[in-house]
Order: sequence, then C-alpha cells, then structure tokens
Amino acid sequence: MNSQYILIVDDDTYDVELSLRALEGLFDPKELVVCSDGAEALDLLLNRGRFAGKKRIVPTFILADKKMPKMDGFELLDEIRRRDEIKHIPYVLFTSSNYEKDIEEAYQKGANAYVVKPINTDEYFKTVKLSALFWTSANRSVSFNDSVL
Amino acid sequence: MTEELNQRDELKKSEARFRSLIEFGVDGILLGDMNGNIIEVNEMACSLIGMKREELIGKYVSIIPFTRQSMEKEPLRFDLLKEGKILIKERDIQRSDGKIINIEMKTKMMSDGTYQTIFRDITEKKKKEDEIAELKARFEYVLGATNTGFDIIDEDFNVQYTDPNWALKLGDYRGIKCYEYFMGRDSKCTNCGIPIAFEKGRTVITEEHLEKENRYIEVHTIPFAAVENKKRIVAEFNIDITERKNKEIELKKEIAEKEIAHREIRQLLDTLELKVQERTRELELSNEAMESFSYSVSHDLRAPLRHITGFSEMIKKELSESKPDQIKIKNFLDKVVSSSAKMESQIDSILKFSRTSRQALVKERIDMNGIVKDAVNEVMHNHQNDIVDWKISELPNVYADRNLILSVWINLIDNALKFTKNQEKPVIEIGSKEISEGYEFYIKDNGAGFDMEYSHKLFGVFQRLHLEKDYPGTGIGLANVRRIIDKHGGSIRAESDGNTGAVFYFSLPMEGGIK
Repeated sequence: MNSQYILIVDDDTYDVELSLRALEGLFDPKELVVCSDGAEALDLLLNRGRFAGKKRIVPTFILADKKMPKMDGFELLDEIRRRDEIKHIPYVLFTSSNYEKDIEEAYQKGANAYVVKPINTDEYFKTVKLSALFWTSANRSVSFNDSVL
Repeated sequence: MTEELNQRDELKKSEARFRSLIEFGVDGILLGDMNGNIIEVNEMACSLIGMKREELIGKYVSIIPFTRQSMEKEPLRFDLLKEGKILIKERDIQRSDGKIINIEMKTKMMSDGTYQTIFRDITEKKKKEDEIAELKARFEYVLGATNTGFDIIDEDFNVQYTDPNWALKLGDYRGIKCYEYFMGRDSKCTNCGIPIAFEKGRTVITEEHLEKENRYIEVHTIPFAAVENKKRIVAEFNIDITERKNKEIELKKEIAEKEIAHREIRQLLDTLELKVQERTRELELSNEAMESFSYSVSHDLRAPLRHITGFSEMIKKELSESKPDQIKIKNFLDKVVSSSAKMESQIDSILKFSRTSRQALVKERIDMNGIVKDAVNEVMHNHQNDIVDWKISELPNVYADRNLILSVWINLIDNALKFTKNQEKPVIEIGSKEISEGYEFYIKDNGAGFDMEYSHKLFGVFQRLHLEKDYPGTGIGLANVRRIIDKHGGSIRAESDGNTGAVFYFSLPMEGGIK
C-alpha cells in the first residue's frame, strides 16, 4: 500500500496542535502535512512555489479551515474542484462558523463535509479522528473503483 | 387846347380807374380830412360798417359804431398819425343789425393832411386765432394734467418748442440742445431715439430716467419729413411712467426676494437630501457591521475559547500521568494564558469597531499635521522604536471627525511599524495630494508588503493577509479604518509589490466648501 497523507490546512497554530494531537497514534507523523493557508496548500498540491521540484504529495484527505489569510477554505475548494488531477480528493471544511449560509455554500461548492469545530475538547478530538478515518478509507475505495473503471 | 382836353380826358379816365379800384376793392377804404371828418368811403367800407355812404360823408369819424370796450382799449390816435406813423389797430364794430365784427384798421396820414384807412374784416381770422389759442391752451392743459411733456426738436438736437410745463421747470430752451436742456448731459443720449426715428421713418419709443426729478419717462419720438429747405424735425411725447417703473422695480425686487427664498429652500432640501443619504449610508454600514459582529462572535471568539478548554484538558490529562511532565504543563498553561489574552483583545476591538459604526460623525475643520503628530506619538509610545526614518510632508486641513481620523492614522502608522519591524532601516513616509473630489493622503513603508492578489481582503472584517504568528493582530484594524473613511464618504486602497513595502491611500471628500 502506498503511503497516505492527510493535509491539514489551518492558520490557527493552536487548532493545528489540537488536531495533530487528535490524530496521534492513528497515523504516522510523516503522513500528516500542515499548510497555514489555502495558497500554500494549492502550491503543495500543484508542486509549485516553495514546493516546486520537491516530491509530489497527493493527500488522501484534506481537512481545511474556512477563514484563513490570502486564500480561504472555500476558495481552495474551488481551485481543487476545477482541477482534474486533484478534484477527487475528499475535502472537509473544519471551521468555527455554524452559519447556515456557509454550510449551504460549502456543499454547493462540492465539499464532502462541513464540520463545526467543537468547543469541547473530547468532541474535538473525536471529530477529527472520525473524519480522518472515514475519508481516508473512503478515498482508498474510490481510488480502487477508479482504477477498475 | 386839344392837348388840354386830352389831358383832362386822361385824368378823368385815371380817376375812374382808381374809383373803380376803390369801389371794387376787397378791403374797405375810408378817406378823412385833417379834422377827422369823413371825405370818402367805398362800398366795402360801408358794407363793413353797416351804414350808407351818405350817412357817413362829412361826419366825424366817431360816427362809426365802435364798441365802447374797443375804443377804450384802442382810442383814436391822431397825434401819432400826425407824427407820420402807420397805425394798425384791431377794433370791434357793432353794426345796426346787432352783429359785432372784428376789424383791422390800417391808417396812414397823407402829406396834404388827409388820411386814409383800410378796413379789413378779421372776424373769421380772429375766430380761428381764438380757436387755435384755446386749442393750444387745452392741449397744454391735457399735457399738464397727464404729466406728459411735448417738445419739438430738429435733426441737430436743437429744441424748437417745448410745452410750458417743461419751460416752467427748465427755463428758456432757445439755442439749447435737447440732451443738455432735458437731461443735463453734454453729449447725445446713448439711447437717443431721434436718429433711429429718422432712419426708420416711424415712431420710436425709448425710456429715460430724469435724474434731477427722479422720474422715468417713455419718449415717443415721431419723425417729420423736411419742409422745403428747413431742417427735419421730430415731435416728442414724453409720457411719465414713474409709477409703472417704480412698480416694475418693486416687482423685480419681490421676484429677486422670492428667488432668494426659493434658492434657500432648494439648498435646505439639498442639505436634507444629503443628510438622508448620509443616514442611509450609516444605516447600511451599521447593518453590515452588525452582521460582521455576530459572525465574529460566533467564529473568532470561539477559537480562543476552544484553545483554553483544549489546553486545560491536556493539562488535566498530563497531571493524571504517573510522572507529569512539568515543561509540557507549563507550555499548555502558556497557551491557555495567551488564548485568554487574545480573547480579551478581540473583545476590545469588536467593541471599538461597534462604537465606530454607531458613532455619529462630529465634523469640524481639523489640522491634519497636528493629528498625524499625535498619532505618531501615541503609536511610538507602545513601540519604543527610535530607528524609524520619518518623512512627513506638510498636510492640508480637512473637514472631518477629529477622533476618528486620529484613529485612522494610529491604525495605519501602527500597521506600517508592524510590517517594518524586520527592516534594518525602516522608512515611513506620509503625504497628500489634491484630487478633484478633495484630498488623498498616503502612508508608505518599506516593510513586508503584501500580495496584491489578495488586496481585496485587506480591509475586510477579521481578514488577515499574514499569519498571526508572523504579524500579530486582531484582523480588525484596517476594517475599522475603512469603516471610518466610508463614513466620511471617502475611499481607501493599498498598493504593494509584495516585498519592498506597501502604500495605503485614503481620500476625504470636499464638504461644506472646505476640502
């Protein structure tokens, strides 16, 4: 089995720390990649900018915050969904906002899920863990189906 | 003998001719001797006097029935006749038929002492003269009663006649030019109707103001063609229009006053309209701000709260270990404390932002130089950075809210300092230029700059273009600046090439005549 990667896109370093802690033990730390905003994440996905010439990483799952400097989670989602080589990657918005409008917009843009960051720490950990596990396994089967087709 | 006969015959013929001349003359002729007795009369004289020839011959001249009044007025003057003078007198005769006739008598004494008088009936002439005199009197009365002046002026502007009302007021007009006589000017009036009337061959109407009397007249100038070799003349009727003119002036004044009132109302309405627009804009802004608050309260305030509980949980977990890691615990505690501080500063800026949105503008004329100086002092108080090279130009006065503009400068200067903190030689430049709508101010730094691709996010609420760990801040400062500039009806923008610094521009519009 090829190595899998989980891409966390979040400008909030404390949230990143909490998320990484939630995934501790489930994944190898080398499988967890962090970008601090959408622009950096897109550069990583397209092997450009400061990632140009480096080993290409295609994440099996992206967990992205919505509000970030430069390119936000919605814009990153648009960029991913309009590019054939990366549009299949499961994309989950992980944000503080529970605005109806944001939720609707996320699904319209093709997010696989919209998850509100829980205040309660246990729930936060559980949410991150479950999302990561579910979507990495889902992607594996999707990739398998794709190769059959 | 024959010659003598011939001569007598000739004399007789000559006498007959003269007699016939006398008899058939259209004038009455009377001859008298030196004593006043009548020697001879002709038919016409008899007819005029109303007596027969035989009733008159040999009688003293007073037999003629002169009226008493005319004899009293014009007595017989043989004395003057004797001096050789020719007397022309008008006398009235009351004839036997009761009719009174006017007679003009022209009398001359002959060298032999006799005299001859020629009678002429001037009754008709006199009647006409009387009529003319009365007509003239009436004409002048009408002119006087209607305050209308009448004059006759020739083509060289000489006054030839003026009605007695003018003459009474202005004196003798003879030999005086019309502009001098009527207007007291030493040259032709600029709007003189006389040449125009001649040129056009019809009545021309002009207006004049008689300064001495403070009267307005309407002058009807009627041209007349030249008679024989005389100068052309105009007749002028000068109708007094003072009352009408005064009413017109009064009316114009009223209209002008009404126009002023109308303009004032218009201005009031415009001001009102502007106020409505301003209020609408404020309302829109505060609605937008309300949405931003609730969003940020639900979103941005949750993050520090989540961190506080999260790292507290971790401390708890670490403490439950058999050998708690002190360093780890301290690290988690630091994060809890910094999250609390972050939350506090966010609450502060939200409150500040909400105040800015709600606060009504208190505009006044403010000295931008003083404001910038205050802002620099305030910001430097917190930074204690004395290596900045400040380049501040002379700034114009503006009409704006002092406190809000101060906070704009504090935010922008703080921003510039924040992004030049890694520069060895930070340079911050402040200046302005005049634009069509008012003034544009700028602040330029040589700091980190930003990516122009994301410049539209620069002024959004809780938007940041840099990671918090690099350039800390609540993400609300520039949103606040934009809000303030919006409220003033100005605009804000920023430019950067992404690494050699940034320039922030904001404009304040001209208002109330003061830029």
